[in-house]
Amino acid sequence: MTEPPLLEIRDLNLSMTSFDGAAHVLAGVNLSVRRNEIWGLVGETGCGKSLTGLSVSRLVPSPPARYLGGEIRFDGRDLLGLEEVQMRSLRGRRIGMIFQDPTTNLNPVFRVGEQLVDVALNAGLHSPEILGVVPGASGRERRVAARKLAIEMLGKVGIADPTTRIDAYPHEFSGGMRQRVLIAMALIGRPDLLIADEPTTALDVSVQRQILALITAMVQEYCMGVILITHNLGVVAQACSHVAVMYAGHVVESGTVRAVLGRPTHPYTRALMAAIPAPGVARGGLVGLAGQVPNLIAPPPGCRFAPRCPIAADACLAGPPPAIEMGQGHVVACLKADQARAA
Amino acid sequence: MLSFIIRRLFLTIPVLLGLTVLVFAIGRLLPGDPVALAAGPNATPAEIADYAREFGLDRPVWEQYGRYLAGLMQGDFGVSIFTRRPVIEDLIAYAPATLELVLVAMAIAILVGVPAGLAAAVWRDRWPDTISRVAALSAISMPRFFLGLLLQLAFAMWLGWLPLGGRFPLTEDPPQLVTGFLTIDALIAHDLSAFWTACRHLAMPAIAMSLSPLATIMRMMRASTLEVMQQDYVLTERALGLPQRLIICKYVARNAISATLTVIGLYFGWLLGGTVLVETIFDWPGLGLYATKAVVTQDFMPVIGVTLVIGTLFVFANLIVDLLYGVINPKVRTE
Amino acid sequence: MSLLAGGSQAGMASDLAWRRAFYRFRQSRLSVVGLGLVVALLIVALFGPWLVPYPEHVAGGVNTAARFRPPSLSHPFGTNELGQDVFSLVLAGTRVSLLAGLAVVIAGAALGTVVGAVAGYAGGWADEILMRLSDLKLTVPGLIFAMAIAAALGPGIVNMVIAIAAGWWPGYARLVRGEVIARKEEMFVTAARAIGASPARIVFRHILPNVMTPVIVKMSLDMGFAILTVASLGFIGIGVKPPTPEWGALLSVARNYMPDFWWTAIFPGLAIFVAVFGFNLLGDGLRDVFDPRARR
Repeated sequence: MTEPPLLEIRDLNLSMTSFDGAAHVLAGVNLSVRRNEIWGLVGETGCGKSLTGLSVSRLVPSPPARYLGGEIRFDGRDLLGLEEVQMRSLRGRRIGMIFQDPTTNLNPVFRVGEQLVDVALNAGLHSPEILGVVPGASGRERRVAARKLAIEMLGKVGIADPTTRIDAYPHEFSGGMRQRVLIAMALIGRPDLLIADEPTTALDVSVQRQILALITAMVQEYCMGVILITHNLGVVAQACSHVAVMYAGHVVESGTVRAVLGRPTHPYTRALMAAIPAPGVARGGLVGLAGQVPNLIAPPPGCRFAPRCPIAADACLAGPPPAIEMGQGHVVACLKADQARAA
Repeated sequence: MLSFIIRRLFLTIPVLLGLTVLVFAIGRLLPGDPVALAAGPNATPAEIADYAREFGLDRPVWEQYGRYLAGLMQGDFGVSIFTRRPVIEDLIAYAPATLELVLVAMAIAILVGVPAGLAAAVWRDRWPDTISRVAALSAISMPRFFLGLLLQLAFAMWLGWLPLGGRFPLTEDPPQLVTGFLTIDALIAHDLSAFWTACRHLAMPAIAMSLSPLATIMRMMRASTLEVMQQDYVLTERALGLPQRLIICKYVARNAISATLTVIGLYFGWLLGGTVLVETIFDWPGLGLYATKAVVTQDFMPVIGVTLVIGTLFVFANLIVDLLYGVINPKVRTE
Repeated sequence: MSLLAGGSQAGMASDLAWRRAFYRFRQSRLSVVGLGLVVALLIVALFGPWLVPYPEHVAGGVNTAARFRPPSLSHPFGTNELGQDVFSLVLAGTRVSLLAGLAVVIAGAALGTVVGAVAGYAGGWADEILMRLSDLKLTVPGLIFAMAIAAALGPGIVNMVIAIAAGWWPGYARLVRGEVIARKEEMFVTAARAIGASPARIVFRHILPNVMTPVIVKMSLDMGFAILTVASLGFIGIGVKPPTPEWGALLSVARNYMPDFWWTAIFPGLAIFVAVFGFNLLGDGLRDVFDPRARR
């Protein structure tokens, strides 16, 4: 626990310009990920969770996007200040990413092995030990090593008969299998940090479990830190060790899964939990949350949840809510944390 | 993969048959006395009647077609009034010249157009974009025969850098006839100066023919590259650290080309059609020039013969494009 | 009746769509240039006979004393081998080319629309046969096909138009068929059928008017190539007979007098280019307006 965090996002502020104006999409995001921690980043559509994930890899296209402040510390360096060339050496090798739809994320006209080998080769440029070749090895030797590694990875993620399947095309795999391939691609460079953006949303429930189990197993094997972006609290409960709840560009509650889901404190988190249909709920008995997400071009002053919050007070509108420590890393961004917890 | 090839090959047979029906229909069923057309403009009524009987033109239509098809299979394409030879001999003599020209023009259009389109998409900017759009539109609007004429004026008549026309100067000996392609034959005979001469003669006609398809291929490539760059898998490739140059030149390019491939197939037809224009300007002894002369002298059989040959070439060109598409896009093979 | 109410609402919506379309059109400078060129060409085509400085040359008169005069004030484009004023010939040729091009496009569009409408609405094997027929035509490149048919039909401008149009219709057939199929199941068709309208009436009164927009866009796009094809055939020697001044034919004759008397060829050739370019620019702009997704 005394080891410095792998990734530390501090007060990240992002603005995106569009036709109608500049939207303040990330307003002070704070997140801290250590090795062997699987952080669920949860929230409704538009809350900024995907943008947070993309920001870590600096994949948010920069003309419409502008970082207004904050830093993303990875391995001691602020990623926001790095040159693109330096970022590229991190991607795939220190930071891996997987996205939501396995059908559209694999290049359909290339064999699966081709894509895997290229990622491995590229990662091997900066870290030759991944390929297991001496630094002076020839291109041919590196290719052979990369292919061997690719077959190994495919086996590890649960693809049967990897030696043959490596030459198959993406359309010859099922949805779940494709996601496994993408996981293999993301992990072949032995990254320290994995960002998974809704990796199971496009899959059936049964396949979901397998994929989540796979991710968990990989985390243990590689001692990685993971950010698992999802809108599904069930996924968080299944697979994550920690969770951060986001609303309108701000992290409203974060901590271990046991703490946050066991004793939800922030009014938004509590509303989310209350909205989960429990078995036996009568028809018409679903509890929703009144109101709408705020307009990010002209966000409300102060706490962004205040307009919908059942316990909001005037002070909540005055300024951004403070981050209140509730003990053991459980942080809540609410002026009325104590009161909320008691309720 | 093999079954895909065989299936596609089989599909061309009905198309080719249909082509013969089409050509037959043009010849027989259109207004205008078909017999007089076939017999030539100077035949007397008695000769026409004889001709009709001899060639069974007083028989029912499908029987005529049957005889026609049988004749085609045996290589009987009729006789040319102008050259006084069987049309099939003329076709064999002139086809290689046309093929050589068309293939070189297509090569130029692809080899220049595809990378240019890729580059235009990657370095997409404000005013170069508009300029390239105007340039492309100009290239397509420019009549090939006028372009050929301008090239002749500039490079042959005023500057004297390139020969005026023809495939090979009359004063020199062409290389030994092997394929009919002067460039290849010259290489086979290790005759580099002949090769160079053949190339110099090819230059202007090929450029005149290739400009229009080049522009379209470039625009299509640009559009499909832009579309491909928006795809999810490109984001994944970037997210996993692949260098931009690799992504563009390998991954994006292959996806973008498959869309452009269909245009390339269509443009082969455009090129084949354009031979009549360009060959006339440059006195290129190919099918186009042959057909043009035939039309003007109202010599009908050669026109029909050329139509058949060019139609067949077009069908095979489309077949090759289909097969290439199957190579590039593996999903198509299983359909 | 709700049908009427729906119709007037649709009318208002399409009115707004038209206004928005024109706004977008004006935004694109290229399209406006194209429009300008086309309008200029149309004016020349319409008023040509009254604009030419030497109408007698257009009618076939010669002036052997003034052969091959280079461009000057009295003859801006010079004179040709017969002493005729090239400027007058080119101007007069505008009418020939534009009319022939228009005839080709209209004929092709009309035939293609009918074929496509029948194929699309009837479906079944009528559809199959008609589509196979159009596919068949596509096996032969357009110019060759036109040449073959023109050779069969004989000389003359009407025959030339028929020959070209015979190769032009498949594109329209496909387009219209697609649109008809897409709209066959729409509510107003079902309603019309319920009222007891005959198939022909349904197609002509209800479906076709909605299909017209893409057809008209295609016609404007095709106009440039139609003119190019007419000029190409004229160059080969099919179609017009002298003394009718057709740009392609003029170019073909002038070829023999290169390079010394370059003006006899350059100006007719430039005329072809400008006409085709103008229509293509306009067509491109129109396509952008009506189908911005197809932006290239």
